Amino acid sequence: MAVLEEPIKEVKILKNYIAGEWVESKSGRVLDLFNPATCKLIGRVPLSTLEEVDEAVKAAKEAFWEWRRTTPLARARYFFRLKELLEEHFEELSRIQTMEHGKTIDESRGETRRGIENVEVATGIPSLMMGYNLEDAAAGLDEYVIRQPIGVFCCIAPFNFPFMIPLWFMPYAVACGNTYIVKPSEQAPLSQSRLFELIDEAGFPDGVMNLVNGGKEVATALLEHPDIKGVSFVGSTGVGKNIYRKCGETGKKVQCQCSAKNFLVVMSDAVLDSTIASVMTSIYGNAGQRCLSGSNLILVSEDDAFYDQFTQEVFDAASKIRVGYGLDETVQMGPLQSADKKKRVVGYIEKGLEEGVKLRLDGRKVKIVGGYPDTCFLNPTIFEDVTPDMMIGREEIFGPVMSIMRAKSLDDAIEIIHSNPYGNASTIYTSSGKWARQFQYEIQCGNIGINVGIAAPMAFFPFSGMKDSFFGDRHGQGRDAIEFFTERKVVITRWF
Amino acid sequence: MSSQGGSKLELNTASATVAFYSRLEDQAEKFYEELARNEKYGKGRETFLAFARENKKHREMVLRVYREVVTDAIETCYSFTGLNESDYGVDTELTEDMGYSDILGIALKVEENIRKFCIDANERSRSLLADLPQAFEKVAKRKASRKLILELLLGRTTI
Repeated sequence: MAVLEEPIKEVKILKNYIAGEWVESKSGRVLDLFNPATCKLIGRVPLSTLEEVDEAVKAAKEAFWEWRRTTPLARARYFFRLKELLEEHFEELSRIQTMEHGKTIDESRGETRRGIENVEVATGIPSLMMGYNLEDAAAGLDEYVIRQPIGVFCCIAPFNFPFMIPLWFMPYAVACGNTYIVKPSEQAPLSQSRLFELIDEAGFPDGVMNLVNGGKEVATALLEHPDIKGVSFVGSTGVGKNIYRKCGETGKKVQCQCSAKNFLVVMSDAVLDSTIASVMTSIYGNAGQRCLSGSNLILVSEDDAFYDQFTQEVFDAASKIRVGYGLDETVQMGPLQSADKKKRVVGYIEKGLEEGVKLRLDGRKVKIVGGYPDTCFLNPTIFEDVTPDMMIGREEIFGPVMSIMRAKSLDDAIEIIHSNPYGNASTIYTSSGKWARQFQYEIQCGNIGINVGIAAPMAFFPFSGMKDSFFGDRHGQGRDAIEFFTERKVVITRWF
Repeated sequence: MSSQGGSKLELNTASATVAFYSRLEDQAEKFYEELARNEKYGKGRETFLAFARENKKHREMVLRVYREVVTDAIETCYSFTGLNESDYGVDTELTEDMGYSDILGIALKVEENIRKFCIDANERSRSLLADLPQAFEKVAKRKASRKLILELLLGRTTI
């Protein structure tokens, strides 16, 4: 099957979008962007200056008062227009993500869809932003709550869902009447840049949404800027903790969605075929580079026959996964996003071997459909006999690596999960309502799957997370986002 | 028009499956349009035109459903084992010597082929959100009805 047409034909030189204008960075410093599958140069992203950050914040601050006075219905209508444009450019946006990140076209379309869903939910802002009231809170006295926007917010985004993740926040923030700045990942900024071209086309007023490309310096400048009222961050726990602390010191609102080590628990009564397909997509989808990816697979049974059959089926399925360029529709798993990320994952595989784990399937033996360079590619890896204290059983690998563990009972499995510091997602595969309920009831994780391998909340629910996977008190998406991006005022009235 | 399929490519992702289905409908649409243009088969003209319009409608419906339900959280890349393009090939090439009953025979094969594909795709896409398998099921039912219409035109059956 032929590879789908690439939407990026020549090296794209990225600019910043500030105050409704596309402006070149004056920094003179750029990073080259490569397609991780073909290793071809596809773009150059500037590492913007602190002055450029300041210009963006100034533009957003200036735009705030007029935008917050724009009625919620009028604000929503801008998002209806944006939604139309996103649908029109659905395929192009998806293919750009495959080119900048490596994920398969199915995965990219899924990401685009999930992003658009957030825009759709945000169009409901006239209802979502309503306050509440109580007549006769005391005799002759009424009391009500109104929600108001706060000012300039920003998002510091990761590389793994370069298009979607800023949309967990920005549409809600802006629909609520705030103004916004996105700092996309400097490793995969192309789809975000295209999104901002569509934002421009949708006709949002100047300064309402701004894009500043760059690296750590830009992120730090945003965090330290006195006119930034709140920060949404998605990335590693180490950085997230630091941002959380910094925002606490400066009185900024903050939500940090961080690292994960997700467990898939398979009970002996699970429906085999569906479970295998779900486990495959959970662990190897997006080449394992998502914070909801399954990583540790716990098989709950003392029955060796069940264990042997399940691991054999998993091995067979993983061995057959077609690895290659995501724009080839027959490819099931793409490359890692960069050579560095591949190196990191290989490091974990080697660490696993040092720890004496059984390597059932070695993804370092790369087999690629279409003869692409192996620079960023790995095939699926499976480790057996992993224990929770081992590095590969404990830390986030962020690659296509499955670590198989065994537990005697569901209680044991839950204990193993709770011994891990992260609490992003966990899944149970079972036909038993009793076991499913116990799992849901007891497990200390923000996103729970019952026979669902990637427990990714839809846009109208919060993208949850607990323990070392989340710092803050309001998550992205849905009502949580409305809470995060507004301040509540209580008004008490009495008329004489 | 030449035959569709024939390759041994396995359809192993949602994208490949939907793209292949789309090509089947596209081929059928062109086939019926060609029949409608040919005066020799004039008595079936209205039916052929209606079928061609419906092929387009079905294709758009399935594509829309796929786009609207595809998400990163479902098994789009790992659930489609067992579907093979080569199992769904029909030769729709028309030759000068073909009579009305010959082309109706080909049309019946075209309908049966897409119906069979939709049934198989429905079975293999059940781990996706329900919309896509339901769309395939809906199309399969309609293809069965179209087969009956063609049989009527052939005089093989009566109402």
